[in-house]
Amino acid sequence: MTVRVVLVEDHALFRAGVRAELADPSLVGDGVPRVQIVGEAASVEDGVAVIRSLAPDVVLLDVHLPGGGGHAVISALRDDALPTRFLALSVSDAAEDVIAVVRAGARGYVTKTISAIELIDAIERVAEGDAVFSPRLAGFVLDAFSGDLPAPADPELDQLTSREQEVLRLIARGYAYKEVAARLHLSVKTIETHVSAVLRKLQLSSRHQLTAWANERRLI
Amino acid sequence: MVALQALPRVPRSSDRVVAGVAGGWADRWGVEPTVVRAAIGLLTLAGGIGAVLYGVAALASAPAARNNPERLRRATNHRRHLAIACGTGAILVAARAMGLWPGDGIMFPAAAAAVGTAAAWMHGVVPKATSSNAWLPRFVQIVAGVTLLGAGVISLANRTGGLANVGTSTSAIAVVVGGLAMFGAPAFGRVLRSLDDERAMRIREDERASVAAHLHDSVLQSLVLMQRSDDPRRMASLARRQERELRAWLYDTQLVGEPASLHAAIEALAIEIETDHDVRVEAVVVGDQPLDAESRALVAAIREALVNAARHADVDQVDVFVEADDTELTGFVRDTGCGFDRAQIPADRRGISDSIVARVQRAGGTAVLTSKPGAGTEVELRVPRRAS
Repeated sequence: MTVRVVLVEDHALFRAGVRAELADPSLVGDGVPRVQIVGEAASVEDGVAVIRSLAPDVVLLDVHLPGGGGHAVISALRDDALPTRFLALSVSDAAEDVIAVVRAGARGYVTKTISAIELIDAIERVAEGDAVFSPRLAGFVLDAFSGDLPAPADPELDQLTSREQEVLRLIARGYAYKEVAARLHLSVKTIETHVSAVLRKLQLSSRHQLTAWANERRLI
Repeated sequence: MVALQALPRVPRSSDRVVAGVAGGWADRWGVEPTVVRAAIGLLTLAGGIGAVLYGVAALASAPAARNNPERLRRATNHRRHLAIACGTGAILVAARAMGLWPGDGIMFPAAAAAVGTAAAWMHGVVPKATSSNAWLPRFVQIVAGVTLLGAGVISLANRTGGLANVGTSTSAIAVVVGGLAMFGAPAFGRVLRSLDDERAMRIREDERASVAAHLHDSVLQSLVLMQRSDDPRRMASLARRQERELRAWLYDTQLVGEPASLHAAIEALAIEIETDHDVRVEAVVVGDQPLDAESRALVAAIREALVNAARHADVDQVDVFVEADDTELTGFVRDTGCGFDRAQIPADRRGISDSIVARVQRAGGTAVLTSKPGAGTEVELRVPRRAS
């Protein structure tokens, strides 16, 4: 089944590049494109309108956008109950911007240097409801959840299990999910479960460290 | 102290004469600070009531909000000025009845001086460039205020001069200086503030000039180079190098000169390898620490591993992951390239054993190299942190 994608990104050249790469015939399986770009927008306002009218499966969302940034798009659509899932896509930005988009509800973050085939994999994974962690996002999350806190408000949410940390470290080292699974003698499904749990913690955690950490970086 | 906590925590003002307390309350009430100051000064003469009020308010105040020197002053409300004047008058009448009174001969001229000061400064004398047709009432107001202040000061000087066969001159001088200070302090404060504004403006302009200079020297030059280049790989590497530099500059990661921290050193190393070897280096660093002997050894070993991967692995990208926690530094360099069998490496090729393994061992750590032909290579480095 073809995943319907909307691309929200303010650089026209980059949009054209992604469109060309995703339409590359060598990446089309069985005559049916795996991914199809059905709409584009260059700002928060346009993005919200396009996504509302098309209700795509996945939105590729730039972290930095004119009119409020990627997280503003997700926040504006929160009450629409769309089936749409968001994947943040950006040059490797400052950690707090990326974390803000993921905390707003994006299912993952990939850098713009990602290869076309990896991007298609990531889009399909997000469409199925899984989380997509690039090495850089894994590093950001490890950083944000590190450090000792006296007593987290909700230990269930405010800490990573050692297995989750292990998975994140392998992703940060550049392992694909499949390779992480092989290395830890687990199934890919289990790895996806761990990564989704980390994403949920990142989005729901009350851990004040997350905010403090982001603020601290913003001050730089 | 319990009673103090019940008081509102009014922030002190950065526009201050003593501690900024009067300015803080003036902001809160939407009146001119000078009015509050004059009231406090006058009440201080009456048995020290003003000083006590000031002290209590200072103890209950919150620190000045430093980061917005250009805070918006609330619109002043003349009814509130009147309310403060009436309140002050009421307290003075009560003080007089209770005997907290240095004598009518001092208090009446002092009250005249206080009212004069407040009147003269209510709108400020350093005028904002607004409509000029409002100058006449202001002029009248200032003249009336100054006249009242002058009359008050002169009659006070007269009075004290009459009193004092002892140290006449000093007390007269004190009164005149006091009067001048009352008159001059707000003006001085305003001049200081406009100097501050000017300085802020100059800093902004300097900043803009330095941003422009930086963009010219870096981004523009790279763009020109890219336009002249025919080789897509060279263009990509130029772009990537520029992107990293720009980001480092934007987020203030130190890249110029000798890096000061492990994180900065790894970022600098990634740029260097990308530039020299035409390979993408995806570097992820968790935690950070200042560069010391151990972390330098780790960075040097990572450099060697990266160079090996770039030269021999036949890949577009190498991943680096470095983590610094309280007990050890770990580093991973991984490629998904051709891999190799270590047994097949000639004994005279010393790169791995000398530059990676031995170097890390000298720092008290371990290096493990995993590689399979066809399945890529990973170098795992661990260096314990010296207990500090």
